[in-house]
Amino acid sequence: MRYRWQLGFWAFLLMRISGVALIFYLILHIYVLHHLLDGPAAFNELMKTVQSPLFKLFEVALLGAVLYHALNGVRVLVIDFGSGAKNHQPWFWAMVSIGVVFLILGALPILKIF
Amino acid sequence: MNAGSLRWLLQRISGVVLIILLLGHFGITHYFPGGEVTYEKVVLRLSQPFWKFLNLTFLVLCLYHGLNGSWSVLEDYLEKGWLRITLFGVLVIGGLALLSLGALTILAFQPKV
Repeated sequence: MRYRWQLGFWAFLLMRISGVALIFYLILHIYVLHHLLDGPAAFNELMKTVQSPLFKLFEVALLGAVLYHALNGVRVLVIDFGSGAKNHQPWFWAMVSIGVVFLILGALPILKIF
Repeated sequence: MNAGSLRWLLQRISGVVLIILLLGHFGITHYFPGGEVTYEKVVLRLSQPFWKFLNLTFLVLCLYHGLNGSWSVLEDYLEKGWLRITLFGVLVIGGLALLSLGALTILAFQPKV
């Protein structure tokens, strides 16, 4: 595979990186939630750990990865099924802008800023 | 339609459905009403058939989309040979293990009478 370092390639590379990060998160998520089977005391103890301040930062990073992956996914749909191929670059910046807005809005309650 | 095009199309369809499910999942778990996640809140939802169905759909689509995507990435870097076959096997077996673990959790809880 040959890499060409331009915007479309960065969009593609970030899609892969965020996708790989999300699959690791999915594994962790399924594993952590199966502790529901251990009953209320054990599960709530575990929830205290994964809802501590450090993990809240991870959660914001997770939201960022999800937003990028989902919004760039929409951009891919526009390229594949719509007229996005000609202007895939403005679409990239449009999606990044929407993503940043949603990331800030989503991060505020996670970090208990409001 | 060959297998490759079908995979390509299913990746897009599952992606769109996942965006919708994920919006609901994030909203209900973290934002409306928000607050900490506790055993009581999660089990209350998981004991209802509607949520079981929704979560099973979510689980299957997430795993399909994630593993299909992982294979697309791996395929680009792996030459034909034993490593490629081994890693494909790891994805399939890992996927089935995660599906079982997830389904076991989703189906464990019965409504309180």
